[in-house]
Amino acid sequence: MLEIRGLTKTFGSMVALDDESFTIQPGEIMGLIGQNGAGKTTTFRMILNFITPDHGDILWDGHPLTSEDYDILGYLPEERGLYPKMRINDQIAYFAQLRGMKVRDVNAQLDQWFKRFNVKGKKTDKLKDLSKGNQQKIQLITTLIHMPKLIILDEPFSGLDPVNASLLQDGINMMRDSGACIIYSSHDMSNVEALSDKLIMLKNGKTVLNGTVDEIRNSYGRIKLFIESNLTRDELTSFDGVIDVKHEGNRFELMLKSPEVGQEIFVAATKNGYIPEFSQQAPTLDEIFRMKVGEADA
Amino acid sequence: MHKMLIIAKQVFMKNVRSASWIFLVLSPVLLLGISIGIGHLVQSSQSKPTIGVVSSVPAIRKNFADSLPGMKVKEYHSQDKAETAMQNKKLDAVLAVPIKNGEIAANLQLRDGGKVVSTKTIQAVLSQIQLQAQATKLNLNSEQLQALLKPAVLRSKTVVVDHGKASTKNQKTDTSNHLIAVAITVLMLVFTLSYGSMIAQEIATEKGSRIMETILSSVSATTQFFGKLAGILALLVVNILFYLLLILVAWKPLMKIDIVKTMLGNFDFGVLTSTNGLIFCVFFILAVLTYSVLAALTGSLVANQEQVQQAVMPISMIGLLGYVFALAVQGGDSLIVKIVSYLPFVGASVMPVRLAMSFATVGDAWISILISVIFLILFTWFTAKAYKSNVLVYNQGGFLKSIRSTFSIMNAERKSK
Repeated sequence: MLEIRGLTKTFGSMVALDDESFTIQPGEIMGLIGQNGAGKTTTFRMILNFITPDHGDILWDGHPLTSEDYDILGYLPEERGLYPKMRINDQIAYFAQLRGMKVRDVNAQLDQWFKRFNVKGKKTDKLKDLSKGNQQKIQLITTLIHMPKLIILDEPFSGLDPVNASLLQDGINMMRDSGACIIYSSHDMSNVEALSDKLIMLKNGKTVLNGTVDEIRNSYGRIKLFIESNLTRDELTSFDGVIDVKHEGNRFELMLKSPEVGQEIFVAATKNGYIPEFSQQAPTLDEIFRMKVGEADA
Repeated sequence: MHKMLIIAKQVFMKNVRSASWIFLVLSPVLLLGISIGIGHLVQSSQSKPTIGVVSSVPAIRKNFADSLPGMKVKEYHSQDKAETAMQNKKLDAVLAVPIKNGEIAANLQLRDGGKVVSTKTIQAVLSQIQLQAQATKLNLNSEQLQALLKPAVLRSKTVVVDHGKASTKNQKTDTSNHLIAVAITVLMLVFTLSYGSMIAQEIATEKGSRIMETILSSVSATTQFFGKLAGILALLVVNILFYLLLILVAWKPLMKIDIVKTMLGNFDFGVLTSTNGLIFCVFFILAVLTYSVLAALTGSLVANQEQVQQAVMPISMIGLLGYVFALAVQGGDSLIVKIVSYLPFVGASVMPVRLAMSFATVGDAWISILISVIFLILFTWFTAKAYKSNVLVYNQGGFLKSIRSTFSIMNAERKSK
């Protein structure tokens, strides 16, 4: 289990991370979201011991995570990089050896990993001879081949086409099933929503959201309303508690101040009987993200 | 330790198969081979000049034929015949040696455009003939002549005074010392620049391509730093061993070549096993290590692969500075040269030359070595610390900004601990 407690880091006068806390249980996937500069990479770098926190603890199974635990780690950096002129099998073996794996074990498992990620190319090819997508798969194999217990993926979906993104999702799920703790960052909320058991959103180093995807969505309540009725745009806007109105033909999409506002609108919309649509939902993760980004700092 | 060896092995294996390293190792051998080959060819293709010796005395003609090994001698009775032969370009010179009353007044005609004829050699043979003629005239026997010609004895030796103790060294050792010092300076420049660049590029490329982050999530920056250094130094050792092996194998055939024989004839190989030889080697090792650490430091400062050349520049500049100072020593022992011979980096090039030229004592050299060793330890300690911060700083603003960022990160890290 990875436990982060009160992590704080400043660079000069800039607070990069302010009192961040979360836990990841074995077999759990945590999504870390936030704009650029929110503190995601700083979080990763502190877990990886690249930088030392000013305050706070990083615990692995109850003890401080140190360089002794390197072998249980799997890390995929945001900007990918491997040796272009080195043969793929040598390359994977090198990184796996640095994680304490034996070369013969790497060679024994390599075919299986090539198949799992559908790599197009020979093991003895030089990396530069592969397509960009296949190079990314090789990078992912170097991250996972030693079956790490703690996996850190910095923007793993960036630059992947939908097919490869789906293969990556399968890979992450497989590692989750093997009992690994997984933390990753992403800007793509649909991936985050589909993949994450838990979520942390950072804004200027502060944690602004923390919980499971459902918890976070439900914490906002059903403040989003899709409605198709006789009510006009002006009538809908005139309700107290309607923040925003968008429309497409007869169909309106409303953002409400609180879920209760929906009841008022429902009564007014159905006073003449049947209406084709009235659907009150929690906001999507993407909408919550945008709302949080737009909010003024506390 | 195990992971450091994995890194060292990877660096070694990656480079040992690279065309650039193979070229680096073979190019001096090829260059030297080509130079010796050309020198040998030129020497052997230069045919001897032909000289016509005109004399009525057969003994004189024979004397020339025996005493001028660098020339072909043709004997003539008649001056006209010899001159005709020269006009027909069959001779490069005509030497007429008439003897009147036991005295020689020879006349040498050189053909313009002909091969070079050494007048010194001819003069020496003429003097010898004249001497014999005079001896005969004065009724001197050979013992008397030899006694007359015996030169006065002058024995010379150079005395080195070190801490009140005087020790003798001969001229041959002096020359050899000098030769080795110059060779060490040149070798130091070549090796430190080549291997320094290699380390800087190795680190800069890994950092620029972000491979570094993956590696540093597996091993500590210090382990990676020393692993890289060990890998590159292993390449250097293989390089030197290859040269030694080559010298061992090629020694006998090489020594058969005149030009090599002449070059090494005045070399006292005892110097290689003397204290001076040891000091030269220590300086060489220290220089390579210090420059390697500097290269690792500058390599870790780059932000992308385009800046790799910037990482190499400081190494080249300091290396050349040392070389220039080492050359300056050969012009005299100035105060600046004295001071820099104790400084790290440049001292390793300058002190061996000062020692070889007897401007510095063995004691001075050991002091300089001690300073360099202390500096190397402190510099390595600092670099290992800075390296950890450097490799994660991607400052596109260039070197100076990177250095500033490094210090701010190092400070932040120190406060955090």
